[in-house]
Amino acid sequence: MLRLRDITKYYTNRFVKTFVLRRINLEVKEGEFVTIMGPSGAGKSTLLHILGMLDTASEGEYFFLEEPVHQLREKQRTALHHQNIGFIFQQYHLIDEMTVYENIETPLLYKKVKAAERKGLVAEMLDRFNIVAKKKLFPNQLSGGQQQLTAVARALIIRPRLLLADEPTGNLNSQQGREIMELLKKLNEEEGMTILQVTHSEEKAAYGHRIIHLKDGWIEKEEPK
Amino acid sequence: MIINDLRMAWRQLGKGKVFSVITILGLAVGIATSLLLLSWIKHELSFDKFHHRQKDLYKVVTRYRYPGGEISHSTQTPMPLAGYLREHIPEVENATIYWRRPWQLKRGARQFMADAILTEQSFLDMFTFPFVSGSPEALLTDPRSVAISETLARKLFGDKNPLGEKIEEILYGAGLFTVRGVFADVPANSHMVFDILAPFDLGYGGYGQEFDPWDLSDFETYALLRKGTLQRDFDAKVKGVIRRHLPDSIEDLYSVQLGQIHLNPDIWSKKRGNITNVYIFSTVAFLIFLLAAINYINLTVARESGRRREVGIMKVVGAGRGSLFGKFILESMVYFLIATGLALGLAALFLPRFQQLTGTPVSIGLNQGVTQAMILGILLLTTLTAGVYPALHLSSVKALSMIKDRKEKYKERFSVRKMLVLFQFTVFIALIVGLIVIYQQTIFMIQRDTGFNREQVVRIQASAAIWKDWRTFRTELLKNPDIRSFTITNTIPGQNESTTNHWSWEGKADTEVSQLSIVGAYEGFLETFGVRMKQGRFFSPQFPSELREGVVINEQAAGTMGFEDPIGKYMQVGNDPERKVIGVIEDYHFNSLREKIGPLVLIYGWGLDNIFIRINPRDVRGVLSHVEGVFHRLAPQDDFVYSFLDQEVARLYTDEQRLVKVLGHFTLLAILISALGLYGLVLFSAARRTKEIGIRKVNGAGIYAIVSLLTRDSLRWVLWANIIAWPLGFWVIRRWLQNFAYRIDLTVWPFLSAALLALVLSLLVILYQTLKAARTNPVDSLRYE
Repeated sequence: MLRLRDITKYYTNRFVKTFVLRRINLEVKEGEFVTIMGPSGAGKSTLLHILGMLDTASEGEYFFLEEPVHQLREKQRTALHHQNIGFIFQQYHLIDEMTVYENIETPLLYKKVKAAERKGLVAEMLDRFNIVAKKKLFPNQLSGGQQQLTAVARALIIRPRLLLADEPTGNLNSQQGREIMELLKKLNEEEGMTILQVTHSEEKAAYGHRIIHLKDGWIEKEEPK
Repeated sequence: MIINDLRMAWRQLGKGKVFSVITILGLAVGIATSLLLLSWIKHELSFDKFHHRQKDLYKVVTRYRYPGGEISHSTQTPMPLAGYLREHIPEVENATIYWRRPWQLKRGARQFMADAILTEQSFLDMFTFPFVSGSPEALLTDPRSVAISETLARKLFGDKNPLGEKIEEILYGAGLFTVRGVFADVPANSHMVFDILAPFDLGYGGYGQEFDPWDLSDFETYALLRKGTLQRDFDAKVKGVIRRHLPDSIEDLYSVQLGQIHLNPDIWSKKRGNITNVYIFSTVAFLIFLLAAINYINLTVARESGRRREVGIMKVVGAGRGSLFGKFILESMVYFLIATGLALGLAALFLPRFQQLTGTPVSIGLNQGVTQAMILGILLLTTLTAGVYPALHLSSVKALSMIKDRKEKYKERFSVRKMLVLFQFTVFIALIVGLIVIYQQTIFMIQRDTGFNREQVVRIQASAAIWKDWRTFRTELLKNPDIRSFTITNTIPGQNESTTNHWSWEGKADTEVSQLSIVGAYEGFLETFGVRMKQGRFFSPQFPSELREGVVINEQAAGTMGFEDPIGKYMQVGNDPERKVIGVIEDYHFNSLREKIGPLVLIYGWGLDNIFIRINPRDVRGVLSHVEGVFHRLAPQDDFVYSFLDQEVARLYTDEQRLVKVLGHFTLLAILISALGLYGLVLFSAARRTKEIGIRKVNGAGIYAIVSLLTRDSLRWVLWANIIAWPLGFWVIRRWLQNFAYRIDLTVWPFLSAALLALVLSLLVILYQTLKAARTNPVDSLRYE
């Protein structure tokens, strides 16, 4: 599904180059569940952002569904991202001024989906994640787990082919964290959703088929190979 | 989508309450101000536009070119001019003479003063003054018919049908007239103001027939040009008309389009408009609007840091730049709409006060197309000036910025914002400088020694009955020991309007033309006004022949005529008998301080309009009731109208006083808006720097250090604003001062005061918020980071 070749990312600050990622080579197949692990500052999030096309690499090649992302113009890249990739974050990043329902609906608005169809899709999501009762509440009226559920629902509503999760359970207690992870696992197994997650936790990492260890911007090791 | 965005905007409104209140209030005040000032400007520009043929109507006026190169203008034209234009200039479709006279009407036992226009039937054909009853048809061709205004009709006849009723004019002895028409009251935006339209006749205005009519030039003339005539073609033909009849004349004629009379500074009209004020007010309206817009921009951009996360998320979940831009524009529009609604309320609330301030019956008139267009224009302008920049800015936030380093763009953004604050303070300081100087000049004019003593002088308006028996009136008044002197003049000192250039004198060159002002005076003049003799003596009943044959001149006149020893020199006006100079008085300001003291000739017994008495201030009320008693004994039917001379002099400067008041109010608003904006900015900057303040405090910074850290920056910009505002203010205000022949010297004080005020005000605003920030417990501010 996606392929990285010699992806390097650095920041230039007054003639000093700071490397975040160095020559990353990685391939992810459709239907895989991959975990990226590593200590703080290893470059995990940056890698995820590049994969999610929120950021661009300084050097190297990135193919997504055989499209050369590194050669695309920003507009095309954004379109590719909006059609195929869903994001969830450690801080949930819901919009505080919107209700659960509206948060989930937002991506459809930008895709110009018709009102009747939107209604059906959102209702389906609410149903699926058992948050129908909460649909009129605002994020700050929800528990962390419920907020993350909403964020997952929002990410999934556009039926992405790839779900990127940046420490999705980092702010949750262990019970809620397990629930979210079980949900991701189910998505992967039952619907064949390709998932890439970043995590610190060995326990959460174990949900993936494959673990990639990053350190100082290098891929230190991959398990199982 | 739009509905969704609107819903979001509404919630945004409720979320940042302080922000919403500050921005909406600021905008509302700004818009209300602009609305009021624009309404006033609209009114000023609407003058005389209500006539159907207004585009083709012109006033013919006179330009005097003195041999010295000096030029002056007058609306007065020769009596036969209108007839001449009709007959000899093919471009003229119609023309009319227009002669304004104060008529005194008698109806039974009651008497009324009213402004009459003596004119011809053509007046009714040319202008649009609709009749409510009777017919304008052939009305003024009958020498004994008049038309009166609705208000006058009600005053004279109450609810009775005025048509066919008789009125009598007694001031000039014009006699009995039949009311044959009633016209709607002349609109407030007409430069002609009158209550009576009467047929033209020299006698009705109190003139005899002994002059060459071309020499009689007390009359105004209007012309209706044929459609499509160019004004300059007409001007070329009319220019030399007077010289064709009076070869020695220095008078040229030219025309002023009807719609431009009101604001034309060269043309005298009863309700003088002032184009300078139109400019000043337009500028102020625009500036205040700009201040409010800048507030909005500043505060919105300042709040941006709090909204970058939202924008980032939107972009991650699929929003494009365009849709975000639309969202933020829409959000701004919601603010602007609320602000406009509030502004309409504010404007309506303050309209009466504004009308009083400007002395103009301004209306907002929501049902008028012009007003609607104006409001729409304001909304559009607000969106353009205040909405676009923040929307562009916010929508350009990179998706990643919500997660990554949030300070990436602070530097660039800050400079724009500071420029805007700088601009606000510049406007603020310049406005205050202007206000102070205009105030100083006004006070200066009101208080300056005018060469006559205006304290404890009472003016009594003379009526026909008093005229007849003024000697008895004087004798009776002077019996009261608290009335020290008594005199009569045709004008009020400071308000002289009579000038003539028909004077000749011993040794005057034929080509020399000089305009001399004339004041009619009686004995008691010197004592009452405290004017001093320089040479010779004043009119006195002890020298009866001098009353008839003498004149008193001022020092300027002596200079103009080149008399080294003026006493005994002869001078003469027109074909009148020669008069001998019997005395010279010291110069006094018989005109306002806008004009230089010119040459003046005093003639005995010329005009009886105003009686002046100097009184002992011990018991003003007692003296006045005594005067009123005597007045009513002699003139039982007339109204006793009096005023104090110092008030009359102050009234000369109504325009300036009004300007001070209006400008004062609007400067206050500008201050309010700027202060609101500054408060908002400091609020945000303190919030943004909470962490920094916390860290500094943990590391030992005291309150003073924190406060100086937060204030230093803002104060530096206030100082910069002074550097820009000073030369700007200096340049503008010096130009304004040049309108006055006698003016104050510009000192550094208005500038320093404005600077100090700006400094103190900004310190007050900043300190309140800053102290709060500095006092916060550092643990609280660091916890959430």
